[in-house]
Amino acid sequence: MYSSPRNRNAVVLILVVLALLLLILFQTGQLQPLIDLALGWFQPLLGGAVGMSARARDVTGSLGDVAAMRARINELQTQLDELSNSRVRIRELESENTLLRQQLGYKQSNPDFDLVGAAVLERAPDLAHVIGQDPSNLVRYIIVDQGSAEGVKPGMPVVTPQGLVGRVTATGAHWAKVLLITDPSSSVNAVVQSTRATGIVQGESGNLATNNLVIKYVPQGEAIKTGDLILSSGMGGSFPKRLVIGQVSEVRKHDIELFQEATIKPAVDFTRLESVLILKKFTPSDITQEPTPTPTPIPKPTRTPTPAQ
Amino acid sequence: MTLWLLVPFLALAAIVQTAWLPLLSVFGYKVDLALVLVVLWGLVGPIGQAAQWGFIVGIFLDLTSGLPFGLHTLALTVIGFLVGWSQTTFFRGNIITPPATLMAATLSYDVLILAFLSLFGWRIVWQDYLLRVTLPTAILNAVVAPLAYFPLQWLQRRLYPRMEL
Repeated sequence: MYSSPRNRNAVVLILVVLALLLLILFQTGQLQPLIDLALGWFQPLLGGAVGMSARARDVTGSLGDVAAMRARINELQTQLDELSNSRVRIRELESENTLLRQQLGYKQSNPDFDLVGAAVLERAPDLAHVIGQDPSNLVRYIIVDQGSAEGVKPGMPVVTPQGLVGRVTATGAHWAKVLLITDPSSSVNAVVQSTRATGIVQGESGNLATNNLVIKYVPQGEAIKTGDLILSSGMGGSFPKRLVIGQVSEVRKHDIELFQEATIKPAVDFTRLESVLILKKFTPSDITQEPTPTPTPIPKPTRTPTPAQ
Repeated sequence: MTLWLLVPFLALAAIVQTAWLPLLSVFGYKVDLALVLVVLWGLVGPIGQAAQWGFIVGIFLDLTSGLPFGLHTLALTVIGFLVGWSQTTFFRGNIITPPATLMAATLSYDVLILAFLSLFGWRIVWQDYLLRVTLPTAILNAVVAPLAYFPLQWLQRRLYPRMEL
């Protein structure tokens, strides 16, 4: 292969320098067009491979009446998901109703205040197919077949009918990389549905076997118990309110600590993600940036015509 | 192996790792096929080629990964070089060598990636990652080593019949 050890070492050195160069160019954002081009070429192969694996799974499942049973199970699962979502919505509406009644009472008792109501942002979900998972066991990303050409932007939340999946971190023309909420570097502001206690949901570092989540920074005084439903709180502006995250499976409380934490079983089955929805009309807000005041144009004084004398 | 054959072969390996191996995961852990191929080719192939394999397959992995682009490429090139270098230094004909090398290589590979992520400001809980991700992955990679070792040995004999193992 190489004529001498010196040549061999030179080639390896060049490859290492090239790899470092790629890393630096990526960090400075100059590699994006090249990645987009390469992934545009690679994506159909990936999509084809995922399609083949899905078909292979279907073939192996078609022994006897297994396929029919699977269809029935899927149908029932869909109904169950819809019912669960309806239950969540009803409970949320009850809470909202109570809150609005309180606010109405507040407004009536404070007639001098000028109060304006605000509505939840419109959501327009778009279906995206999962075309691959991160090749490494260290991080949890998926890659989907919708990108900037379809209006997908970094920061957009990604969901399934079961609940929250993650958020878009990078996009190309027809692909997007999604950081799953099960990754330890992901954080979601959350609320316990029954008690409205707030906390932050993160992926459990290193726990690949269960894909569990952890809700942290729940104050000691707040009630949280096994079976409680955890929803996104909408605080921080990264995710919309009321997206189902999961259900509490274990609570850890130590008297000597300021906060309690709990393990959450996610509502979404991350091992079987085939398609997801991207909330395109939800615009994440960056709360670290102060809003810049828009200058109001000073109206030019208009010369009033002097009446003819 | 010429680049015309090597590039599609390694692209296929990256596709298998990204699209198919997640379906065959064991307790959530998937085999790091690219690393397995690079390390084992470092043991059976001509000296210096494993780094080349690592560079090519690394680029394909970086395309599909959420990690900073170039990290897989860098880590696999370095690992490929180290394994290639070790084959000239240590005895490689032992049956224990492939799984043992893969265990050590998986550990080095993950440590290298985590160190760079840490450098880029990612919050890394080293103990959790090393004990709960790297160690099980290293064991899994070592277990599958014989499945890839013998086909690669066969490939080496076909491509380089005059090379001694």
